[in-house]
Amino acid sequence: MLRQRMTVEAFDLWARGQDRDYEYIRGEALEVVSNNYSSQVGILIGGMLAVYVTQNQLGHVTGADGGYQVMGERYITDAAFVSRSKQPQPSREAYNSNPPDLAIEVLSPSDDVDRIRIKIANYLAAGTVVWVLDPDAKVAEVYRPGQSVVVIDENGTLDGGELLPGFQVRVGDVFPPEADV
Amino acid sequence: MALQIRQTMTAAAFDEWVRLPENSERRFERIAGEVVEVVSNDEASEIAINIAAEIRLYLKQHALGRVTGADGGYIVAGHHYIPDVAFISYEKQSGPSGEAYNPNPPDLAVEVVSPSDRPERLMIKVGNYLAAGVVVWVVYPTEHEVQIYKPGQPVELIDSSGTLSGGDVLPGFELVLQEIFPRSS
Repeated sequence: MLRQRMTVEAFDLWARGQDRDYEYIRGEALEVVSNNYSSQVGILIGGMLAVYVTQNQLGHVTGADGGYQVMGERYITDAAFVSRSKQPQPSREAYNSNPPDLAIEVLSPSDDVDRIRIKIANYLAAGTVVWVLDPDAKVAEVYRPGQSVVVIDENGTLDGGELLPGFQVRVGDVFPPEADV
Repeated sequence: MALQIRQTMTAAAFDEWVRLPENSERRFERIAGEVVEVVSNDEASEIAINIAAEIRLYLKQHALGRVTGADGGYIVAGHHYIPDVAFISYEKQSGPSGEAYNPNPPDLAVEVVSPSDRPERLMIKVGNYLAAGVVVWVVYPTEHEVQIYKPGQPVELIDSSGTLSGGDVLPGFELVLQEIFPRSS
């Protein structure tokens, strides 16, 4: 996995010429790497979100190549929602200069949890709600600015709250069953 | 710091349980409902006491508050945490609470990472500290790095050649990072 130090200005120019997705975290360009199962979880929750947001005309949903500028860094979330009130039109930027209202991060074994913690803190500082989905523990963690962290097990419900009123999904339903072998 | 037992408990049950005689010599945190025993190692312990000593020296010159060590518990956003070092201002609390877990969260919490730590737990702890308005310094003994988390502000990273500054919490406090990491003789 590529890891290279550069300034954010250099990153913005450099990232445009790359075939792969990169994030810019604490001064380093980092390649985004997932695995198949985490990708499935990401597209499942992202798909549910996209359907809901489209039907209710609430805003825009991006997938695992949607980039955002967050507190001066450049992040790519597995799925994200930007409200229509924050941004009436979809952004055409490689990294949207508006941080999302909601960012979803699906953990994968190659993730550096340390790096995700930095991302979460910067998201919170930017006013973004973060849902962390942990496929191993089958739990969702909800981080909201200024509020205590909520951990929801697979029988619990992820609720869109004020951000996505009426959106509800059972946590277990975002983790596709693994085949019995 | 490390997992010894894995059991979920309500806050009220936890409060009773930690007071049992058989637990009097042990330290526990309650993170996302789960009871976690605090286990450290000598390197992390040395770093923590070095930081605590520097803060205490600073506080002798600047009477701003108190510093607690690796057995000082706090209730943070409804959870029971024991940071390795913490500072609580007189402004927030004029005297010690006398409680096993101070009902007031500290102004500053220092967490020294040890190999037995589960990073997912630290992620939740940092989220709750920020929600409670607490500044957090996360110290990495191997990388000689410190991450600074402040509510509503971008995360800062200080590397081994850098200096940690007390910011708004400990104005004028400066700590050269090289001085807190253990040296071999």
